[in-house]
Amino acid sequence: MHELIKNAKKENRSLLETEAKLLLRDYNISIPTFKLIRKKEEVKNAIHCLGYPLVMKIISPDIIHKSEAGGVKIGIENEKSALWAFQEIMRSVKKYNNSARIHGIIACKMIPQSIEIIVGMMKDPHFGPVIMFGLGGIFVELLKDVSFRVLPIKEKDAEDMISEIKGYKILQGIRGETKKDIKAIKELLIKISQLSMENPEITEIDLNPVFVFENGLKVIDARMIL
Amino acid sequence: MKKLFNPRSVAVFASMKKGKTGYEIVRNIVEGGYKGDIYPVSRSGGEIFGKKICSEFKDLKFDLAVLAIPGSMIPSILIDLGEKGVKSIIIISAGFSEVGNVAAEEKIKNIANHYQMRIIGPNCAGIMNTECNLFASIEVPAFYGHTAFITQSGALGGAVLMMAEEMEFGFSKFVSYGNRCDVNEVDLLKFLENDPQTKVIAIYIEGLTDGRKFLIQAKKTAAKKPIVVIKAGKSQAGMRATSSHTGSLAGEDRIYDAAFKQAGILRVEGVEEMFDLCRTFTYYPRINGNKIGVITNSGGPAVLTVDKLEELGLVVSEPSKNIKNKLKELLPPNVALGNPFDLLAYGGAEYFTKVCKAIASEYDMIIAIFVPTATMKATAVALALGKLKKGIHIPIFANFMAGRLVKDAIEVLKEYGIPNYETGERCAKVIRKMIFCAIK
Repeated sequence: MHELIKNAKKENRSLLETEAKLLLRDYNISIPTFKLIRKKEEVKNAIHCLGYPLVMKIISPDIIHKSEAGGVKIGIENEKSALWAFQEIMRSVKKYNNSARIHGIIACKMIPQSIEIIVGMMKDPHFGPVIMFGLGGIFVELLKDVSFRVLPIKEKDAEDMISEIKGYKILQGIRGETKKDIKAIKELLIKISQLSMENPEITEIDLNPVFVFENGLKVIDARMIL
Repeated sequence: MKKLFNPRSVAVFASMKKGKTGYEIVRNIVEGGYKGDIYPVSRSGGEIFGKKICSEFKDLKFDLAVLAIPGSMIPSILIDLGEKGVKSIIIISAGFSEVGNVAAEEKIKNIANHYQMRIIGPNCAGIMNTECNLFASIEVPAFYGHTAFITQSGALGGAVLMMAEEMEFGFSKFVSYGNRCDVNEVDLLKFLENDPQTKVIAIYIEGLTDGRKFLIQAKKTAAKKPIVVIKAGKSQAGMRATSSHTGSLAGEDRIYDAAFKQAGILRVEGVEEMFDLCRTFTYYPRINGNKIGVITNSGGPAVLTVDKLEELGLVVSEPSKNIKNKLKELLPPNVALGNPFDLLAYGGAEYFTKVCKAIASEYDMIIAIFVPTATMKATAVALALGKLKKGIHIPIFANFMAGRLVKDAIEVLKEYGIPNYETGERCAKVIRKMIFCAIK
């Protein structure tokens, strides 16, 4: 069992955002560089090489709706703001849920907005682990324009999954937009397939959003439930 | 598994009174032409369809036992059969897990395991093997054919058999597998994969117990023979209906859809499409390419066909300049030279032949649409198509409309190995599936 999963299981919780991202990195999946800050005194050193603007988010297994709890601050442009954000998040979260277990606050550089995709994994009662792919936002939420495959998947399955969605043309570039890195999406799907098969303790994965660029992609937020 | 389908002798345990299940089963077995020994078993004694009804079975020797007795009597009979060394059982009787009686079904399963028996059912309509004329079923006996049909619903199975009879469509094997306490879809796929008589496998499913195992087997089997599936329970209402009918969960339909796609299974919407597709596979085991040429003597039906083809993502490409020139020479001046090739008033045998021959080099298949008129006769065109079929080396699909006016022509087409479809749209759906089948 993966170390991160072992620890989480010991504490009877799912993986934290930071842990999910580390696991992704173990599988060579691109994530934004981040630092986990536990104390106010650590802020200065932590954000030192990250660059601006920053986003800071609360890391707690007991807080699912981070924004609602006041646990997210974006557009942080300097050290002073970062310090303020840290304290403000802690204060707000404590007010929202006094007994929440706080692991710290994650700080990472904000990635410029790009085409969003969603990749998910869940266990279907009939077919076991299933992977899902779709374009982010209303494509998934309103139009339910997603594709599924049963795991494990091969390269052809990944290709089919991507080209099957109705919004596929958006990835190929429309309305003056450039073509996006479909090969990177394909590799991501295959890696998530591998990750899921090798870590059966994970019952659900939600990579949302994932920004896709002309070259490469980055997983902006990740949830992994045990 | 083989013994289930090819027993040397069969015993039927049931009430043999006229109109009862046992009566029907024995009649089907006897009148079906089964060559092995047949033993009706019932305490009543007497005779039925020329066979003595045995009140005791301890001294009888048989490979297969068909049980249509009250559910409560089954465990003890099974144990007796087990002690006798009978390995193949079909349980028609209902009243098990489908009505919530899971314990009774577990009991049967355990007995089967203990004696290493294979059981089909319970709550099923029986099996048929047209290779050896075994009709161990309450349903109408099937004609000989090369499509195997297995179904989770006995009643649907019966309806399919009736429709098949009307179309003179034959089956290799028929299995209504009921509650799957032992033999399930995976076992049946494995068996049918290796059955030389079976060239196409059709399945009606409401829910799978082990989807992954099914997928793995289906992928293996689909590589050898086409598998056509009707999966019921798409709609919420449908899902509710199946939930209560078979006691199995319908499951997220989109995932079934994806899973079938992954395994190379051809999913059809219903029985009509299933028949169209299975029938076509017996004419053309495989089609290559995807360029479709449509030749017609009637614009309307052709447009409907092409609309459907394009809706399904199929290619109805224009002919090359080369072909256009060839056609210009062959055809009268006011005939347009595009695809669909509308022959207008010249759509008789002569021009159908000429155009088919001219375009065959550039297309992978031809759909020939024909509506008879006073001057253009269906049978003549059918003959023409039949005669040129071999020479052009690509499959021809016919869409001769309508009704009794083209009945004879369709028979002619059949003789020459050309399938006919009532509408071009139905033909389009079949072609779409066959292309998917070829590229998987």
